[in-house]
Amino acid sequence: MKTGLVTAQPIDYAVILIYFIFVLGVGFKLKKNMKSSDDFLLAGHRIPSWVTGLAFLSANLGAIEVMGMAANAAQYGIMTCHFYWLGAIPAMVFLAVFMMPFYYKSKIRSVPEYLRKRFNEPTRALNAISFAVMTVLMSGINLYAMAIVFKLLLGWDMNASIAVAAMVVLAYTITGGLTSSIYNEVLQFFLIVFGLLPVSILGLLRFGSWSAICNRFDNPGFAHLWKEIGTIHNPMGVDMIGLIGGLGFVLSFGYWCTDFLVIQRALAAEDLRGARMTPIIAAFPKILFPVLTVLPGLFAIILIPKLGSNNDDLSFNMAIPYLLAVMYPNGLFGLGITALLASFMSGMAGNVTAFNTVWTYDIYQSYIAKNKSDAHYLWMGKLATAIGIIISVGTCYLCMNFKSIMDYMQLIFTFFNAPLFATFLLGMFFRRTSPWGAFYGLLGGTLAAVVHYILTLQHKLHYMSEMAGNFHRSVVAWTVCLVLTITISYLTKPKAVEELRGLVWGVDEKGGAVAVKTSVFASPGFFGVILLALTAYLNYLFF
Amino acid sequence: MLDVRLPIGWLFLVLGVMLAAYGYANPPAESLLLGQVSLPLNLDVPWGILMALFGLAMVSLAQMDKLKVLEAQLQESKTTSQASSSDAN
Repeated sequence: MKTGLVTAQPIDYAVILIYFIFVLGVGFKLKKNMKSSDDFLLAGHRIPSWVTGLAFLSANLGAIEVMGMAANAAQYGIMTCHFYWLGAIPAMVFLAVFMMPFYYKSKIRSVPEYLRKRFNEPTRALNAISFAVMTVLMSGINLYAMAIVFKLLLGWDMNASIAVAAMVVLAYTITGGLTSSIYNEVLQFFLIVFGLLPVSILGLLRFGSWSAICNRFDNPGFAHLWKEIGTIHNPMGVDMIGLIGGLGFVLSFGYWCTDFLVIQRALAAEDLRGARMTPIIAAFPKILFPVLTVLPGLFAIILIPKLGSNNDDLSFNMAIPYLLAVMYPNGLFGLGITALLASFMSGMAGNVTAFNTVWTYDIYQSYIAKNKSDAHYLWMGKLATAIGIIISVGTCYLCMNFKSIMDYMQLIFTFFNAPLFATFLLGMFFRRTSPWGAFYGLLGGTLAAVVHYILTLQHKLHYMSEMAGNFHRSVVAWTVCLVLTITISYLTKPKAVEELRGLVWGVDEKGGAVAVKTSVFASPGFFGVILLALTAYLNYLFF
Repeated sequence: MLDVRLPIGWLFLVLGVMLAAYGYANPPAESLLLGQVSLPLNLDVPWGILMALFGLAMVSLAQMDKLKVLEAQLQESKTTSQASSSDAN
């Protein structure tokens, strides 16, 4: 059958089919374990940390990482690695060392629940609603990306592939809940590694060395992380403030330290140490991810010079799918497509399982139907899963109006995660932060991001690239939230110290928890230092 | 609960064998956009073998853990039965 870019053979379809059978099989096999809402929505807190670690990582190995980062690399060069080596790794270490103890020990079921304990109901409601909106906006991207890949590569109908994918995700999340979603994330993680690694290997074989690759760039700035940051005339058009403040600090820390989608996976761990080690375990492979995402994007811009033209079929987003089509033999091509499919479904399932928890516990149980039986909440969790998927199909069609996945995604983060990170920092590390200070600060920060975006759309604010605008917007939203929260906190009444036990840095838990002595070399902090040293070295290597 | 290594292991084992067999039966593709580099065999073969080995390792690890748990249970039941028989004496 030759309708798309390549001639897919029966072997390619067989690989995809077998994958589907396994995914559905896992959901079905786990069905008998799903007895309470806790099992379904929180995986019953009994998953080993190496599994939660991999799930933590692969929950955002969705369309963002695979297609978005490669697209970004084709568009901005190796500076895309800043998302990993300046942003993600330090943020993951910070989460493990400083923030995870508060999340885990406060026995919260979701991130908004922490806000209720630390601040008040309105703050939690504000965050729960904005988070629910964000997750469904995000999960549509995965569906969209998948549909476009199938249409261009295999000639499948857009609507049909959206429907098939939505149905498979629905089937395995509704039977196995978060556990099924986590198991499939781990499965998908390995599929992505095996499915995409040959692109990098073949590319390296083709060019021979890093310097040979660098010589082929039309723009020499594509080969450097830091060299051209002094001015805004670098590929990304971003300055120091935008890069370090916006990407390195606000956006990355905001995403990794407050986004429930990632935190939820660590909370499913067996104990506190497991929860703290989750981001650390995930960070080690994360350092190497650019080999799977950024490197192919760099190959694509050399091998497919027309990439990035206005033609829809040749958008930067198509960098990885095109490489699969031109580099892989049949069989391996089926595996590559399955890996992409897996990454999209993993990303979507991650969003949907985070949405159903926040909806069921933080909105439905808290404001709509209190004191119902657990069976009722289990039923609601399943209903929320189905509704979340239906809404995702809707937002998928919305996404089609945007040009680049990555820019769109970071834009959404500036609205929701950037101000929230200021609220969390103050909540966890500044005792004086008052409930109303947090509420108005968070609201003000979000509104500041919206106003900033409108001004950018009206060309009253001008940036060299969409991404540079996003970085600056996040700094503005974070700063507005920080300043407003502190100011209003000093004008309103803070919570009594008694109520803050176990929630704020420096306020001891009731009864004083007995510290378990473990070796320094087994502590998350020790591994954190190793991670930071490795990242610093990579920054130096590709300076 | 289901050991996550089992479905991963079996999936990779099945897919790996399939790819290797298909690749062995089919000649390497002509244009891989690889320039001067030409591959002596279909890439499906080595990659399929690698995947199958990975799958096998995952399944074996899961089975080994299962055996350990069974052994521990056996040991436990032995000690309890010994204790109860010495109590009876």
